[in-house]
Amino acid sequence: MNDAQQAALGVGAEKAFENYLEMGELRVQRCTKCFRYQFYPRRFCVDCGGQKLEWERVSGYGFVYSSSVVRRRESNGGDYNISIIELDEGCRMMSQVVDISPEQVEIGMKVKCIVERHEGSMRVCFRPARTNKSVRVGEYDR
Amino acid sequence: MTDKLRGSAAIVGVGLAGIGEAHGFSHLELLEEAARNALSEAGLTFADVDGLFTSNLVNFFPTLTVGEYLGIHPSYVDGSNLGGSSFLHYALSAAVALETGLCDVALICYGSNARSAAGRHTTAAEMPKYEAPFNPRMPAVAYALATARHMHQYGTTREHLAHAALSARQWAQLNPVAYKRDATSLDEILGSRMFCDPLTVRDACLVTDGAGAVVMVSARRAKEFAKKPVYLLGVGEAQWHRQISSMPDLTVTAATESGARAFRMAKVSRQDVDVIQLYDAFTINVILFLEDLGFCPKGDGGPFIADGLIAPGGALPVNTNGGGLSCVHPGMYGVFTMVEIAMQLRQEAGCRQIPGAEVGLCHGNGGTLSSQVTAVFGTGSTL
Repeated sequence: MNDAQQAALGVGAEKAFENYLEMGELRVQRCTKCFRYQFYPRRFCVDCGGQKLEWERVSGYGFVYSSSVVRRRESNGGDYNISIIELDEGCRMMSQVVDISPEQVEIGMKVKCIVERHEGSMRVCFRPARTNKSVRVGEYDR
Repeated sequence: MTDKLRGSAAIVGVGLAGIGEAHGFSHLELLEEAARNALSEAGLTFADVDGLFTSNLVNFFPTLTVGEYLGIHPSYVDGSNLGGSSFLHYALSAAVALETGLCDVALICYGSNARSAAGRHTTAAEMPKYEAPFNPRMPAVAYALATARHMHQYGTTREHLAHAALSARQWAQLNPVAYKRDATSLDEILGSRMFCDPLTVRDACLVTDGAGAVVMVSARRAKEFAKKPVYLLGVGEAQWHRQISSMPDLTVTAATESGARAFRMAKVSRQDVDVIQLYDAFTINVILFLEDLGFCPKGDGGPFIADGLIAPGGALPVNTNGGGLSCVHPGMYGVFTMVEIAMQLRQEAGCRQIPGAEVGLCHGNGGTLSSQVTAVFGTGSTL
């Protein structure tokens, strides 16, 4: 059994997602019955009720569905971005677009995921995608 | 069953207390004063109350804490926490309880000293697990994201939003108890500090103290009381998400469903509505709810309010007390929509009175555009 199979073995969907992030991988559940991707992780498909879901390595590409700049004093860390990202696979998640100033983030902007450690646990942020050309599924930045 | 509920219950008393700043008073003391005011309109006392409907942001067991404080021993309670819309939900819950005989006198009440105690809105609500790692400033960020998306899809502008704030202030200037009554202008609102793009501090509701209460009884005995009964004609609820990242479409709220349900039960049309009170936690709420409740097409909410239609003198008066933006917002606003609609339908709203108002709509919002509850009220002539 490889590490990826091990990550989801004997644990709930939430823990499995965390285990994948610890391995540096963004994996998203896909229902084997209706084939929809879902986020956040659940033990069943919230669309069709199916109970068999697979953990797919997604492209990591998506676009900014909406975005805001939280204004914060410089002494407290300064302004930061909050966005909702829609993955190319169709599901959405809250995240932060980094690598550019928060005001430069625009709705519709193509972005690519970064799995990073933040305050002791792993989280998925995004940065502007350098290219629009499609990449091999599963090939993404660590 | 929903047909049976139409007009089955009525508001026979409303009360307010501590609107704005009430230094030195606890939330329970303010709640008690508002509840006493509402009951005294109906010639009732706490001893008459056998249905208690309340929640707040500080008590984990709100019906127990409030019931004990008021010294009442209710036979029916509802402390469901849907956020600020809870109090509109209680109108439905109370109507069912009154119709089925579970209680005879329903007291819907809320009190908060958010402003004098903390100076900001504090809440026991947990941060959703998959949003927490990004430290979103809630609830403002959620409404900012909805606003940004609405602007992107429909061309809504900062000026449109500012008109919602301006209209609220113009109404507040006609309401002697409103907290913010000083004159303002569109330019002043537009020039205010951005705190969660594209929202400025003037797009956000106030942080005030305040309490509100509503007494409801069965329509069968509503005419026994001193005040003209304000009948609950229809009510509908809907919810699709809890956290903003799970909202199916940031530009469409579940008010599309709650409103349709309320109108179906009430058997009135949009054109029949004389006055509207809706939960304006942020200026985008006004736009979203006018669209989703069917008062204008999706995407037209901005131009609709910029035309002055909801301001004093407009064809569709909205938030005649000044709303959460300029009158009162002590954390959960829902109950205040019903207090103001009762004042309007009783023709007691003073210089902000909508002449001859007979049908009024209240809309409550809870969470981050999450829970939506719509209630339609009418005078005796609408039964």
